[in-house]
Amino acid sequence: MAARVRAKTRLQEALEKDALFVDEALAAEQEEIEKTILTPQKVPKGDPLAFCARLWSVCTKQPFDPEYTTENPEFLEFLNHKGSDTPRITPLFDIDYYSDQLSWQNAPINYYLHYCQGALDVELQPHVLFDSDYVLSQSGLSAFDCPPLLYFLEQNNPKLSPHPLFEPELYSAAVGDDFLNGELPICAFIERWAEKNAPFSSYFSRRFYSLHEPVVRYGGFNPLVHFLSAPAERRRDPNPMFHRGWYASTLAADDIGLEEPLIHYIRHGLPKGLMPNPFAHTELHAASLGLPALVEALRRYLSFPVELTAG
Amino acid sequence: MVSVCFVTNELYPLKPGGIGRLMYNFAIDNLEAPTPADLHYLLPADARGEADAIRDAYTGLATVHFCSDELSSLGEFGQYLRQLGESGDPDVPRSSNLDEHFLKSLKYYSGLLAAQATAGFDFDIIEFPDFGGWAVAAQAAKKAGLAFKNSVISVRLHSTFGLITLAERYYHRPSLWLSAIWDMERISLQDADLVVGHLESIADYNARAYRFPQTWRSRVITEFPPITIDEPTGGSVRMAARRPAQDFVFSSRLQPFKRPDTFIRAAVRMLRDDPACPSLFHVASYGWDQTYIQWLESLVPVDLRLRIRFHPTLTQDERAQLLRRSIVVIPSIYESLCLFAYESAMVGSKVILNRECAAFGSGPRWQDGVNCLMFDGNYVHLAEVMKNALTWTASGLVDATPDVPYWESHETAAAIASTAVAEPSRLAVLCYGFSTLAEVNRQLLRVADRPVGRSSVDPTYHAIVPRALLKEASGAARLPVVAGFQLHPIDSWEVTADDIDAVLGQMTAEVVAFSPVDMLVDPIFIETAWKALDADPALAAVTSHTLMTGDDLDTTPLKARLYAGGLLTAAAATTRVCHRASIFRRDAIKRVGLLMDGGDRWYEDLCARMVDTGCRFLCLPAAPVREKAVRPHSRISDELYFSTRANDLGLQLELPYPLGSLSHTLPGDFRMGDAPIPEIRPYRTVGVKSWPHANFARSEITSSKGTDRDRYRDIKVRVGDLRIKNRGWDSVQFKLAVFNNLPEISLREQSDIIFDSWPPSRSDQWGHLVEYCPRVQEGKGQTIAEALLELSLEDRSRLGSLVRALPTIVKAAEPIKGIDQGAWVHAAEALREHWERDGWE
Amino acid sequence: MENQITFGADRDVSVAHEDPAFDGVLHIFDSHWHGIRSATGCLPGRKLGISHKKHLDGGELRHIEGLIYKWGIHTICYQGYSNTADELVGIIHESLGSEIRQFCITHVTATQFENHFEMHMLGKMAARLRENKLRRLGSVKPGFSSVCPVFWGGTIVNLPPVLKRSVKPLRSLDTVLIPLENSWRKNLYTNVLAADAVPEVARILLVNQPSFLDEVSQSMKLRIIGFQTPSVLLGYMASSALVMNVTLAECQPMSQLEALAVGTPCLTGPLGLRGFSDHPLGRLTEVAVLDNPGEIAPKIATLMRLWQSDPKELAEMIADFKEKRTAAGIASYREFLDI
Repeated sequence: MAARVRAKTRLQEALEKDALFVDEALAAEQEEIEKTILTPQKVPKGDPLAFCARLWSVCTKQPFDPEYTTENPEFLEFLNHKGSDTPRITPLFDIDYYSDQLSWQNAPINYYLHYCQGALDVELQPHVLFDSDYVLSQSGLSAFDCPPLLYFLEQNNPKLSPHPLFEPELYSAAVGDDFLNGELPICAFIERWAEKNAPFSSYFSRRFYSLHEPVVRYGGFNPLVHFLSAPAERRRDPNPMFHRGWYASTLAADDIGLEEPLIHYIRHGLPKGLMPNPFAHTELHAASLGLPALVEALRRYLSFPVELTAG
Repeated sequence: MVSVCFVTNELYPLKPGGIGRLMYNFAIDNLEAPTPADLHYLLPADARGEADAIRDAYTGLATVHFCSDELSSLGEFGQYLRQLGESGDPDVPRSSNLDEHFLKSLKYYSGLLAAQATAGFDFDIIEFPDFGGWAVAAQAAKKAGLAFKNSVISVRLHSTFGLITLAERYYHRPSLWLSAIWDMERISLQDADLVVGHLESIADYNARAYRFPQTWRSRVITEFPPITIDEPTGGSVRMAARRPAQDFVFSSRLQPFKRPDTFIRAAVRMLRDDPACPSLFHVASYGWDQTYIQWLESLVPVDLRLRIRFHPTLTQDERAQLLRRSIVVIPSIYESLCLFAYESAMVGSKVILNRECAAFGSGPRWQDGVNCLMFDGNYVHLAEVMKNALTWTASGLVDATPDVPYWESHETAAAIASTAVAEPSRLAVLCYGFSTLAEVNRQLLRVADRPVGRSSVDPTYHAIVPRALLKEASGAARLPVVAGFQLHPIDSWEVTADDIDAVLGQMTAEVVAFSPVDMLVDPIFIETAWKALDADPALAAVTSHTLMTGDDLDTTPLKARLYAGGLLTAAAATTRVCHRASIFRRDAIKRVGLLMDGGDRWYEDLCARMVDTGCRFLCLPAAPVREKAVRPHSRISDELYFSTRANDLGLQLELPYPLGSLSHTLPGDFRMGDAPIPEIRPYRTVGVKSWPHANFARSEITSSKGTDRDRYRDIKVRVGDLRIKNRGWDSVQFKLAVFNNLPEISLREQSDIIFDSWPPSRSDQWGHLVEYCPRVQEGKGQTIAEALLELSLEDRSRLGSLVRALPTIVKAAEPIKGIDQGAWVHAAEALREHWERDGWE
Repeated sequence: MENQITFGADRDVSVAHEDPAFDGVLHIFDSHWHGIRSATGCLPGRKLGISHKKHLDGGELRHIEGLIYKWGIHTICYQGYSNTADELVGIIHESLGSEIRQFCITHVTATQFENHFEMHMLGKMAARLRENKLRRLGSVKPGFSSVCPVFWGGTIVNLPPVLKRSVKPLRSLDTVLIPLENSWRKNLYTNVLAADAVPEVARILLVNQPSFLDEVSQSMKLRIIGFQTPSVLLGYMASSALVMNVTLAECQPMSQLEALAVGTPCLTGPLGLRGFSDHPLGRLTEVAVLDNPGEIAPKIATLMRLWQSDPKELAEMIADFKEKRTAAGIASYREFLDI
């Protein structure tokens, strides 16, 4: 716990001063952890090292005693792999994606451990399809209670969504249990998407998106990954009725920041009855009676049943 | 976890005021509650400017929401409301325009919908303050089943504007605007699921003032709220002053019902009776009405201005220090609780209270001579009590232990909801107003196209058609029914009250929906209103707002028109009670009766008399009805209509007239009655709003370039007639000009100077400087020292630096023509002495 | 607001026939061309209004693309043609490819070529056909392929509007409604003079003023009701015994079909629509000589007398006509659009 608290304080201090110091703070903590590893000892529950061990354990399915993490040779071996050499133990941690978000490359770090050190503070995501904030909002936890990815994997709940644009139940129903074979829907989606081009979101139309993204249409590109990986200004609309540019520059202009407009709309705009395009108001006869009916109408308006039912 | 959303326009620490502090106390208290509630606050859109600061202050305590001026949660209606809010209704003069009130209420309703959407669930409890009747739209939405089905809407007794104005007679210019607030406040209190008060005496006071029945009074729950003070203390604190206080402070807001004048007059009397009295008297507060404040200042004789001081801009710390070393005087004639009194007692100050105020004199908590001192309401007695207070010591504690808040054991909305009505009533739709066969047919086609219905009941349709039209149609004169329409022939082109009455008499339906030919009604409205009438037997009619179109009802609407429902003000002085396609309980119409006297205004006449006789109306916060913008011409002029209405109400005046002032003459439920009656008070109420010198300055601006609208332009003003309420150093030039008797001054563009009127006698609360300033003795208006001192006192931190900077300022002022260097030296001396003596730092 | 594209507006869908086979069909019409708009409003399928007065902007094109996708549109049918429509044909072909089948229907007659715009548009349609961006060109004027051979040989048949519940209106049996503009082609004066000559007609309702007619005829029967919105005009049609639309050149007037929808017969010129001109109602209501009131008046008198003598027969005739017309209309569209 002590180390955790230190890290938090240092991170906060660093954030207050200048983003550049964040890296230094993390690196310093990394050193301390290295020392811990060298001298076997009990690791407190809330320590990044303990989090990392749990993450490693849940991914590799190897049981361990969190208090004696540092005595587990396989885990220590795992920790020894650093930087681009960090092994891939879960599809939900994309080493390349993660390292691209880091501004320094000097000190080699085990990225999982780095993530457990509180990377959420600096808004680092383990995977483009993993939205920490969204996961936390469903959990009732704060980032300091538990790293969101660890929470997600430990829950092992096939209905828990890691991203506003991925609906596990929709995807599971479309691909079937045999295909999943006990795997989390998101993991199957990342690993084996191409085997079954199945619907994964009631707001993201694969076919509409691929109309203007031939790479997606013909290649083996996962459309959601393709969409989220593209620079925001070059992204194409993935929902036929949602005009991203219009929404971001009008209704949501005040508070959208750098958030993806479609995600902002699903999470904030839609529940408030905001319109997804400049024509919707007329087309929906945007009822003067009651928000609930309007929200329901908007959901129907944004859906594309042909594609969803066809699978 | 129970969720509670407070609607408020004040929130500590961002705005001063008791309600805001109370809201904060709830949040703090909630932290330690055995089962903490999920607290939310909804603030108006204009508070968005401070959103970040507010949210920071409430991190971990509560979620703060803001209304939006977009009103997007009201759909299309919201769009038109926004227009209305921006431009107003040019057809109606502002003084008699009630839209502003409804808009405010609709904005909070829209804000609540959005807040619920953001939160992702319905609030269990939504609490409104009683002020302004803001709850009305949300309450109507709940009654109509449009929203808040799972919420209890409660109203907390703080102070309605109605009660405040009762306590401030002759201060408020009576207006429809004012009367409408009274009406809305009454309705919001009457319709609340739950009314929450802090003191039994105040609940009684409200019940009496509004003449609410015993059933209302029994619905009021009273609970003592948590009181927190910035220094940790227990629930009850002995009133032991740390050192004997000898100064007195008045620190309530400068408003007539807080009675700062009583304090000032008592102070003057005390000082006159005992010139050796060592006490200083502080008026440490602010207000909005500058004229009133100037009048208060003028109550202090010049020679006592060193002793009776005004501090309009103290920081919170400074105010707290002042309060702790002084005896606190609260002469208010009305308070619903007065947190300030409890806070003061809890930090150990002596407190002097007005016995006439129901929150103090009637309650069990304050005991004269034990935990406070009380005076009889007049300043002569206050002066005596203040004198006694110097030597008095409290012997008891004031009990401020909070009760468990009602939401911790709240009744659910389901428990409060009345038992559902088993059988749906029968509905009849009554169409009339036809002048061509084509109109009849169009109505037939329309009804065929979009019929109204509820699961098991279909309405019957009736049409009153001039016989001439039926004759025109082949064989129709013999037809009782066409296409499901029961035809009722009449022999004139104009539909009269008797015609309607006759048709109503033939109906068996309990509920009747009017559908005149020049209105376009969404069937959803009829269905919603029908259900609402079935759900609440006390309702007589349901109406809504409308959208107005040109001659063609099918075209895009032009703007929204707001209707009032059962507000007496609206019924007496406007024609906006119910639109003509509203839905009524048939027996309610029968009871009031349709009168032929009403002529072609029979409908307005009916609605107005229904309001007079206490019928309850529901006005949906939506606009599912369209009507033509131009109202049908009537043979009864507005003037005749309103004067007859006045006669009906027994009013010896011409309508539209502000009814709010007629508390003792209005009939029935609508009187604001049994509040303290002014005549029996041993003293006169005071307060002046229109002061002969107000607006004086504006007329004296000599340059045509300068109007009060664009005061930021380069303007020339006559110096001698103006005073400046300044905010910055820009005004120094102006003050120098005053000092040096320059006849005119040119102010630069973008100056932050704001003009105000020059008071009839000098308002130098800094009178103690007079002796140092020879110019003042010559009667030349403000002196340089005053000007600088005033500047620095607005921002106390500047005083020290100002004194240090004086030599530089003097140098800078040299080029200005006619500067008297000697006066600068005097000014500098005066300031320095003042600074050292008072030691503000 | 007016210039915006409108999808599924109330007035364009409320009187439409329903046929699931047309779910993937999108009719694109011009919001300002009222006759074509009314005709389109009766068709099964989805409706999109555009404007010839304004080019489509990026947001509108994006929305059209979204609508096509969302509603699973596979067939687009342009009702009338304009530069805006022409532009849209190209854009849709380019962005969505030939999977979206595009067709066009013209609503003009050769008589109207006096307005050169019509020929420019026919030229553009033919060019798009050559480019294979439009698959087929159709017309509601029988035998239009004799005017432009590139047109489909069949005739598109307009459908009457649908009223959700049949209403028996209150009808004034001595009233005639003439909802015609005062133009050369519309033949207003002849219609008025014909109605005026029939003693059974007591009232003639006019939307437009027959200027200076009073210098020729002193009729006391004329009432000017002025321009009316479609819903009000339908009320007037329902309350009249007869609607008159005897114009000099016509394809398939919607006034006739709207009048029939509310049970009112409508006098027209010869429409040449196979199966309908020789229908008993067609024989009663089609006038051969158009510019002679004396030839038209007897037709009016016959109908007025039929109202008195056997209204039931007239009603049955109208119902049968509507039924056949609907069937023929749907069949013609299915054939034309290959669905």
